[in-house]
Amino acid sequence: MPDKQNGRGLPVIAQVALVFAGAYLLLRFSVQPPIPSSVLGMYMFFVGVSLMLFVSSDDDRFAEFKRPLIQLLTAREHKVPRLVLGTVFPLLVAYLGYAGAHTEIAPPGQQRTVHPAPPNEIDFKGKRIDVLTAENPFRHLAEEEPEAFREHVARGKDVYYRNCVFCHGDNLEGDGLYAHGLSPIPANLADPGTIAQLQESYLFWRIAKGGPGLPVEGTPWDSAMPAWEKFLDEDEIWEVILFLYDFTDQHPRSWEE
Amino acid sequence: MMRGAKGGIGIIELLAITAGSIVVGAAAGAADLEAGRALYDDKCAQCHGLSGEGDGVAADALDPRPRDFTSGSFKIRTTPSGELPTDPDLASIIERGMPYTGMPAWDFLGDEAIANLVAYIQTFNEDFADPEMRVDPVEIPSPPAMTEESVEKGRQVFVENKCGECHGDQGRGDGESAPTLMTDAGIPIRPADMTKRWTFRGGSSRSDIYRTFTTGLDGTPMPSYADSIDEEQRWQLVDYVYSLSEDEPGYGSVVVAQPVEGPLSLDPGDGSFANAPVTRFPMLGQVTDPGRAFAPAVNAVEVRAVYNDEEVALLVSWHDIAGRREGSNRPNGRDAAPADAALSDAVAVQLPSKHGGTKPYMFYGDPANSVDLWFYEAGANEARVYLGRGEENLAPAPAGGDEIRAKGVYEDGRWQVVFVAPRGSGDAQRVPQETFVPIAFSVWSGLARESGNRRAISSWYHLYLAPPDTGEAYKAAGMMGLGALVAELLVVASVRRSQAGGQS
Amino acid sequence: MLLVAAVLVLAGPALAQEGGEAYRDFPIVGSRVAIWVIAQLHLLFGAFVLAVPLFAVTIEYMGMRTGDQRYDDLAHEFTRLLTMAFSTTAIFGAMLLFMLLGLYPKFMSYLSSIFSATFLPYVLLFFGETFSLYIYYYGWGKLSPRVHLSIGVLLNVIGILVMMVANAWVTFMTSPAGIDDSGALVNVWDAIANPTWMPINIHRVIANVAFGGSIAGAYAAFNFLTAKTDEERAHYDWMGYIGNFVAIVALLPLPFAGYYLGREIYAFNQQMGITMMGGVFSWLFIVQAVLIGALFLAANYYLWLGMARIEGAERFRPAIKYLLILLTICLMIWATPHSMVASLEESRKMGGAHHPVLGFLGVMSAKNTAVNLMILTTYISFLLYRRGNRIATVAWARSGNIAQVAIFVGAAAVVIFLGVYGYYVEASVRIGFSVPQVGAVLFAMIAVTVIDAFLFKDCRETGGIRWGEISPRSQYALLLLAISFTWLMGLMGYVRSGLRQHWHVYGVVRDTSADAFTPTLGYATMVVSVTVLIFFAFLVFIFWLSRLSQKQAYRAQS
Repeated sequence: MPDKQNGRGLPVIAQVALVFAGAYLLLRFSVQPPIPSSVLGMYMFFVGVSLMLFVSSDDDRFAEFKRPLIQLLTAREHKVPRLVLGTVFPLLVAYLGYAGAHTEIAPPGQQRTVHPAPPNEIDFKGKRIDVLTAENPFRHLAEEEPEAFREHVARGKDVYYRNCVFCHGDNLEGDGLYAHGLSPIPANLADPGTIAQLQESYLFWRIAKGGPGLPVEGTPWDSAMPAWEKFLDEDEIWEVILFLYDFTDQHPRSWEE
Repeated sequence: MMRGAKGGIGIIELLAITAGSIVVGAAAGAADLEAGRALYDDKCAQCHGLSGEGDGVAADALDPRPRDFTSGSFKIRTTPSGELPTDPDLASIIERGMPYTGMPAWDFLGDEAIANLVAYIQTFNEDFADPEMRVDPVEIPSPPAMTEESVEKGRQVFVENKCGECHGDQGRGDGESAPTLMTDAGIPIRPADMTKRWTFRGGSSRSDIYRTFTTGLDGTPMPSYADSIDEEQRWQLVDYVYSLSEDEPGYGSVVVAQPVEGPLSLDPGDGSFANAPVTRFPMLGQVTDPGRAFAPAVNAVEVRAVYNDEEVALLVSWHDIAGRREGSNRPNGRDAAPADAALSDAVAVQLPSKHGGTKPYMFYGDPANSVDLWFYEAGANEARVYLGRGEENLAPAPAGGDEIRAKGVYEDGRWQVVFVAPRGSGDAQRVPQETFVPIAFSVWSGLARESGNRRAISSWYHLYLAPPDTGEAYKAAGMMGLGALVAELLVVASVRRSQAGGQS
Repeated sequence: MLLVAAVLVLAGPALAQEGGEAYRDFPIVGSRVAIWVIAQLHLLFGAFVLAVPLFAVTIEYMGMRTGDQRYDDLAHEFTRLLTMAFSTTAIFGAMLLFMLLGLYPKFMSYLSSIFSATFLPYVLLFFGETFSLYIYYYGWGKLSPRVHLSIGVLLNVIGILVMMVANAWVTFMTSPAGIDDSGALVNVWDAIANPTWMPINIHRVIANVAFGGSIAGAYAAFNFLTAKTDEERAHYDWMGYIGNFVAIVALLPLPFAGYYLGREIYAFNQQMGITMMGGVFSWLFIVQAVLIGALFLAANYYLWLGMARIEGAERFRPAIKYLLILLTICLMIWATPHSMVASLEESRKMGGAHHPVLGFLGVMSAKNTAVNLMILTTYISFLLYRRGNRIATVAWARSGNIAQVAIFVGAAAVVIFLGVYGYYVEASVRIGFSVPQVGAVLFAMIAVTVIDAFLFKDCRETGGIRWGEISPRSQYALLLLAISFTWLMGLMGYVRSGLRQHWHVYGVVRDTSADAFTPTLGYATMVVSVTVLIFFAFLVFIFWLSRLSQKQAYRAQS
């Protein structure tokens, strides 16, 4: 058994280091845009834990893994490297401490719920609208009167390009003219993770009440999304919702019966 | 990645269906006009209009306005001044888009779809169909090496040809005639700010700039210099312009203030600012509240900060093609200023009124969480302080507002305004050290008739007062190093003990 | 205990109604945290007290069937822990009751007005549980095995009924039913059988079995690590193995029970459903993913280390690497958040809080796929462990193995296909996919087990299992298993309870106290962690006590 493992050539500890470094390089550079450091850190933690589990899942391998470490710490003939390591390690830690006090000043990443829970109902210009059950008054036309439906979609398109395009972009991908200066960045409406996950009534709430209507977990103070009730009437909002789904070829979320 | 692929598939399907139903048996490689029309109506008509006149629903909010394809006049071309662009010219601009305008890059459409669009766009002006009207492009040679010498010679070309009359002596677009410039259609136009290459509509490579000098920007006051400046000098001019700007805007998210000894100066040229790092923030149109500004005059501010024990000083600077000190301005209000009122330039810095509470709403705060607005008005050359509880609820600060001092200087297309404010203490703590304090900016250009809600804004960013270097880093290093040494000795001792135990 | 019961029935409503105060304050930590911690501890001990008899009776039954005395001893040893834990549970229950009455008088008076009819049955059931427990414990070896086993079964039935009554009170707070618009009681049975009652009952029974197994494993690990002799080590090694086995078998169906509960919450009130999966609480599901990942890793790791004591299991060593790689990738997918914590620079590059590539891993389709594959992988580990020292001798061994591999590959293919296809269909259809995914995995596990049973009917054994010769690292894995389980119960319980947000009884009794806000994730995690710590401190004490009593008996005998 030990023979077989020695046959590999590389000591276990070096193999572990190589795999860990390889995984880091792969995750760090193969995915574009880069994985945020919070997630990358979590991934590397899993990789590290798995490697340790692998090494220690076999007594022989674990012993072999530890052997060079133990020898380094105890054997007489390793006195010189031991002393070198013994000096270099505290110095390295000291340097890290020094560098830690000198890192680039960056504000902490923020945690934000992208689709927070809506209120049960909202007041839209004096009219109560139930955010959970309200239906798009034009949606049913899709089957019944396709031509009238297309007309509403076209009107929604006009609304979009008069109002929304500046942030959400010509192709609805959240990359409009002002997107580079906003944080949070405008929602990418073509992403399957945004409007396709939501009901039309939810969109109505988000559009009508905008950033100021968000609950705290949605960080309302940072959102540049206007409360569109200041600019649009009810029909226009429902129409622009029709357009959003139509243009991106998506469907509103429907609840199970 | 997948998203792009999905979009691509959708369009190919669309094309296949249209193509299949209408143009059966079209020659391979020939552009498909019907497919081009379908795509144009779907993606382009909202700005450029169904009939190509540049009058789509979004057009009025855009500056520069969308191209009028019926005019036959195109800015970005490889053909001589006044000529029609080539097919590759049109394809290239669709593919690359025009930075800092409403025209995004459409590269994801794919070459075939773009070729169809190019063909369809040419149907709006009959000249395109006339082979006589189509001319060969000018040659754009590969750029020669850029040297210090070529830059210096380019500077002389710049002076000799009076480029500064429009673009300003420092290239910031603030030439004497800048405020009066119009397009052929009679719409005011701002000369390019050469210190921000990333905003060049036709692209920012040296070849792109060379092309602009050679062929001019048709329909604008920018002429072709093909006849008046020879090729070598044009390249020198390119190199000079190129040397005026960084490659990328490098927008940041934190103003890091440096500690200084002694009182803070209101002079932007004061030496203490020179050592403070500059952070550039993008400025956007305020389109969230009524009185919207879709195309503000200012697209970025640069900020530096220093502080001492009592006060913090912010140096806010931005480029505008003219500095207006006449008249007055106001931070809020939905209505446009009266046409006969003289509007001065202005800038505002916004911070939460209370340190450590919930962040206020980025547009002048909210009823529960107010902001302090330091409003510098160039007309008065001083700051006023407002307390904001929302866009409609902004009032002069009740007391102590005059403790904030400000002075501004406009020179060579650049405003530099210094604010000096007390940091406060105890409950009135405003800017504590080593804390990320939210900060946001607004800028009004008097020339562009900006006032109240019609302004350029930034998102919330941060102001951070970096601690003075008191050797904390060395202390940390010492502590951690010592800790590591002790831990190391403990591990060695325990391993040795266990090994010795194991062997005996 | 009698006292507690009496107070519950008689003094409860009386105490609650006196005075007009809605809330009273608890010093230092505040009322909410005080109730939170005590309720959590009561719940954990309650789970323990329910889980151990389930476990003990099962083991006793196995002992009867196999005639192996070890099983009977194991069950007996376990029941000894029970007597101590039972009184601890009751003490915490009494504390919880007194504190609720004292701190939330108005709310308790309302709850009493709805559920007073259930108090007497609860008390009676409680007596029943107490008596059957003591008979079960003291009657060990003295009653006929059949009678004894029947009492054990009775004990479990009563225990589960006690839990169901308490569940009715708790679930009523989340999904009230059987009341009119003003909140007054209309039908007590409807109030009991409210929409989330049965899902919680099922979820808790299954979870209790898994919890019991993991605590048994921790008990064994604790004793293994402190054992002095080889016999002791062999005994506790075997015990740990049984505990781990029970825990993992019960863990596998748990996600589905949880899914049922989640669906009922959505059905009862969509807003609550959205709060749970899309709001602040969604972050706890990421924490949950990491903890369940730790559970899977620990369980697999334990089995792999266990192979070292099976003669002949070396054959399967090389497979570990691939199983581990698969598990790690699934775990990474499962823990990938949908909205990521990112700095401004990072989100500028990503174009939002959704990563354009990793975003695909952040949604339910990917996560269901990952967890199903993890279950399959764990099952394969277990299969290899079982085969460690056996070689099939039947004529069709080769084709049997091929069939098993084909079933695994087929099930994995179905799971992955549906996972990927889920991106192309509507949410309501996608949610439906989880059923066939789970179905494929369950089918694979059952089919492979059946084939295995015949395959190894008259197999050749290459060697025995050297109980006790397992690396101590495996025992730490068992401890980790128990801690992760406990932590998970605390966190998920917080989600269920916190979902009500500004309500004591959702939509009926509003929480007007100063604590009517959702605490931050970090704070909630800290409270749960402290509770888990207290629980384990008590547990170690109980383990120690149980060993102490054994020692005295040993001396007396000698």
